[in-house]
Amino acid sequence: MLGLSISTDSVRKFGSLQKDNMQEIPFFFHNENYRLFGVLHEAKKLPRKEGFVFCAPFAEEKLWAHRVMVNFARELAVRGYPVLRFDYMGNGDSEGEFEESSLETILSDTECATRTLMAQVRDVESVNLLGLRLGGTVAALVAESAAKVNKLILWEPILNGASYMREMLRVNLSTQTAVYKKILHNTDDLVRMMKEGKTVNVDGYEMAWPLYEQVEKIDLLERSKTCDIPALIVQICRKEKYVNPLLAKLKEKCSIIHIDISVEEPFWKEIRHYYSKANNLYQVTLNWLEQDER
Amino acid sequence: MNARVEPVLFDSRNNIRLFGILHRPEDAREDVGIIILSPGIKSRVAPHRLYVKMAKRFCQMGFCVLRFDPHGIGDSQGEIEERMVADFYGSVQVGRFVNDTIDAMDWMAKEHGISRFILAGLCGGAITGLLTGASDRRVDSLLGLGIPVILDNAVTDQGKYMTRGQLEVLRGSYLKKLLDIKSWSRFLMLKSDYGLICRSIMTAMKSKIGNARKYSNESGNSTGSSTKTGHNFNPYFPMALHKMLSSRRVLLVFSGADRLFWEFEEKYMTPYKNEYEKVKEIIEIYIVKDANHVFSYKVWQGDMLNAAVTWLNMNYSRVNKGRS
Repeated sequence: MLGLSISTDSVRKFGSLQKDNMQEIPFFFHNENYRLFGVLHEAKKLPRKEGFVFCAPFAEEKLWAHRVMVNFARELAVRGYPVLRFDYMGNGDSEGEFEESSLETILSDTECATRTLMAQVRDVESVNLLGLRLGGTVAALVAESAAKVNKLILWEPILNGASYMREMLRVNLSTQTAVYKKILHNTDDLVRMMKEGKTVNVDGYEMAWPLYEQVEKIDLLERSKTCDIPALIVQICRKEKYVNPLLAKLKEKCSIIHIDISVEEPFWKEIRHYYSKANNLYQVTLNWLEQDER
Repeated sequence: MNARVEPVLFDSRNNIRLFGILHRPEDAREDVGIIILSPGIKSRVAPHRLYVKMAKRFCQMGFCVLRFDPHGIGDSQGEIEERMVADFYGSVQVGRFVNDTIDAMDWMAKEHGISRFILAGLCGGAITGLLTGASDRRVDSLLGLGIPVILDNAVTDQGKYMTRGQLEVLRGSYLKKLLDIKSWSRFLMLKSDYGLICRSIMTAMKSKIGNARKYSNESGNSTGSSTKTGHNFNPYFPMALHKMLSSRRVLLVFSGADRLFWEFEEKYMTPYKNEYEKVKEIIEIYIVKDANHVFSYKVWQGDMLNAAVTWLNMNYSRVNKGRS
């Protein structure tokens, strides 16, 4: 069910942020019984028939990377692409609690955002999904089921959910060490606690079993449907180096996928540099879009 | 209490469009509102959505609450020019977002008729609130979480200005490393910070021989000049705090395991003890035991929120319609 509440009414009510050749409209939209928060970046001139939905990374990574995503949405909007950025349920300004979220709700929210973009921007006929880290993984999964997904852009996607979830549990162990000077609950304990219905704190976010279990099962290399859509995967690293062997393996399986490397700081975590734009990453992505048009 | 939660946009004095979320309860109070100020990079949401949780709780008390992004942050227009995060934090600590905060108050006054404000915020948000309060009388009180008293920047060796608490923690970690082969290897290959190791051990020795008074004099005295409190002390901090406290209320909540609390104690409370004595009846300080800087655990968030709600109830009960 779509409970849309934007377009002209919303612009009148909340105003819009206008700059160059685009405007930005913040709004809430419904996915079933909760409201999701989104910002629509719209081109004022020469709007394209392809729009973008951005898939945010996990938990605190989203906050560190926020401005890089905002600025790329603006780059795309001035080039005529309408872009919808939104917060998953229990994240950012959307309704719900983080502990209620799961991969299932994240996928459902992303599909809802895709429908919302198409309903709101009359000219949009197909949607491209762009995701960072776990958001890239989400984009690939949504593309398997959503018919109108045209292209995929995955920035440093999480290929293996199990190792990513172990990384998140290590964040909890670090906090335990900092607070108690020792580890009270090891990773096995944490997994057992989640199975028993408790939550595990990751950087302040209360993660519950459904989210952990569902993300843990993801293995992008095993999903052949990802190969059906033109996709750009960008490996982000501090120094240019060889392609991650897992990505190379994926490329072997799916010739339609283009893999590129972009030299950037890992802007989705705390680093010394202030990162509001990732120009190398933007350029690699825009080049691929332009090549695809030709 | 039912509340409307809506996105809002308003222009700053520099014609930069700023973005926020307004939480408005059905029976909102019109005498006083709350503005929660961005901690820094993490926008109107704050780490692990702390500000969303705070706004909901304050809204249930009948307050109209605005969370907004200052220029260059979150979804607002504008850009941050600093290339290093520490330099950006330093600019916030000397008032980068004060004008945006004043503009947000102007907008709340114009759109919602609110004339008095409680400013709240974590870290960068707390110091922005304090500096705004020093320059605008509409700020009725400050709820500051983990307020910084130092000036960050990317070129200063912050290790030089560590507090005794920080040095003691470091000393503990160095002692643990005595049995670690990798650490010895780093030490012998000249990769360790010998100055820092030396300072952390010297601090412990001074403490043991009961030389606390000498230490105190070395790190600062009651005249409170910035050279005596360490070169990274923010000179605006005591001026703004004493100005706020001349007629308005302040609640400072600190996390027990946060260096910012040690810095507050050692760089402000000790050197400024004479000034602090005069205002200690007005300022309230609450420590959330064991908590880290961002109140990660639910129990810490609950403790902090209960302290804030108690303080708000005491000073802004509906019956009294706020303090006179």
